[in-house]
Amino acid sequence: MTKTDTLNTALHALAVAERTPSADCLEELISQYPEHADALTDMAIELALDAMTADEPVEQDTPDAGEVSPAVSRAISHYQNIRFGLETKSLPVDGSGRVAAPIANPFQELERSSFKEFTTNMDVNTTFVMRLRDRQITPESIPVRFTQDVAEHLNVSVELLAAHFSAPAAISAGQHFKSESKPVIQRQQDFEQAVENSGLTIEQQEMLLNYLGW
Amino acid sequence: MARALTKRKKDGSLYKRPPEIEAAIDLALKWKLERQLISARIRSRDDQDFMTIECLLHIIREAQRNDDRRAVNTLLPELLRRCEALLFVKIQRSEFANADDLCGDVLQNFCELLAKDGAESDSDLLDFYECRFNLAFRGIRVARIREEVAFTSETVPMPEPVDDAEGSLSADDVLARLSEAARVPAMQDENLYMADLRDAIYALPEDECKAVVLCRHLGYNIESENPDEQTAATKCGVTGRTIQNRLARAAKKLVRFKEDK
Repeated sequence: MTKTDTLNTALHALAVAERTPSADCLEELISQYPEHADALTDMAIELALDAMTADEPVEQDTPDAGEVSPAVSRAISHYQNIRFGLETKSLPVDGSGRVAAPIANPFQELERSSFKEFTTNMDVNTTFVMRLRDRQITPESIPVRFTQDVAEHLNVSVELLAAHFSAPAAISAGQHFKSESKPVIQRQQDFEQAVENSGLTIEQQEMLLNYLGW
Repeated sequence: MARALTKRKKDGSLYKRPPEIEAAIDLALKWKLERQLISARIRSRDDQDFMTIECLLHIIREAQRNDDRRAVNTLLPELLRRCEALLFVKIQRSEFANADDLCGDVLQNFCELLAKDGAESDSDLLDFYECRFNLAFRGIRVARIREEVAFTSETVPMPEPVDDAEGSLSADDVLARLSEAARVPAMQDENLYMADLRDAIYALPEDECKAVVLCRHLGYNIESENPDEQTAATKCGVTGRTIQNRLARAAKKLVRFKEDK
């Protein structure tokens, strides 16, 4: 166990011991984790003050069923990246939860005809699909339900697709270019900007932006 | 039937879910995913089909263990929406300019625990969450807030003012009442008052705030003749007299807070 792990274990033990920690409880934990005495004391103070007010949200503060906020969307993406990293083991996940090693690009596997079929089935255009393929959209901004739908159409797992989106932006290996110099990787846009700047029809934009409200 | 928890308490006994949660899990496990989703989306606790967050977590953990990705992908957003609602109560935009980011961080920290749950070395990581979710979840929240406060506050140690000891008499009176109020969970109707009182304690200088909480919330003695006893004075690295002065100054400010209310 690293020092951070033992700190987290100690803080968790304190949080679940009592709603308002007592001096006895705190000292017992400090005797178990003397190296974290200061952190435990600070945490106990925060917990004691926190306990002065109720924890439960009132019903009207709960978001409507089915709504997924950007924070929830990002958290799910983080979860999927970690699961993917654990499942493949060989692919380390960095501190931000992004897969650090190169990973398979599920769009790369598509034949020309499959690529076109996918574009049609998703009711988008080639420019937008290429942005997905080349990871030009910030992964945190991609709605979870959209990722799920794309994964279903590509017949790959959500975790693998989420890991692909989270990897660094790249120029597709098989891509041809006419200029003398290799094209520069475009700066990432968020999902909404990508929808607006890909030459999609109004109907297609509305359909895609609807994913944000889910 | 709900899988038995494997995490053990300090005395070696296993954690057990409260019977009502156990029964709710047994029932929900018999439902199809669509039915579970409907139940997970119910907002009113009074609805007989309302699913507790502990029950929802159990179903997701089981789905993850069984590699049932459809169930995880369907139910996880509902669990996180509930978590987010819990966070909105405690991390408010009026207190933190970056409240949304803080909520996001806490959700991600929780997702990290969930993602690693069931891995060989972490098989019981979330067992306690199935017993008392809110209590366990606030640990992640408070830890993140603590980091944030430590990062944003630049504290400059101030010279200790010299007070006369007379103030300590009224301090005992004011703070004794505070200590009783702090140890009893606030009822909904007095929640606002308690929130204001908590904010007033937060607003005290750090050394005074620490003295108040150590002595009046956690129950430390101010000082002791026993050299082995941990007291507020030993924990703050000052004399008992200094702690008394800090308590007296804090009490004067909190008396003003009570009068204003």
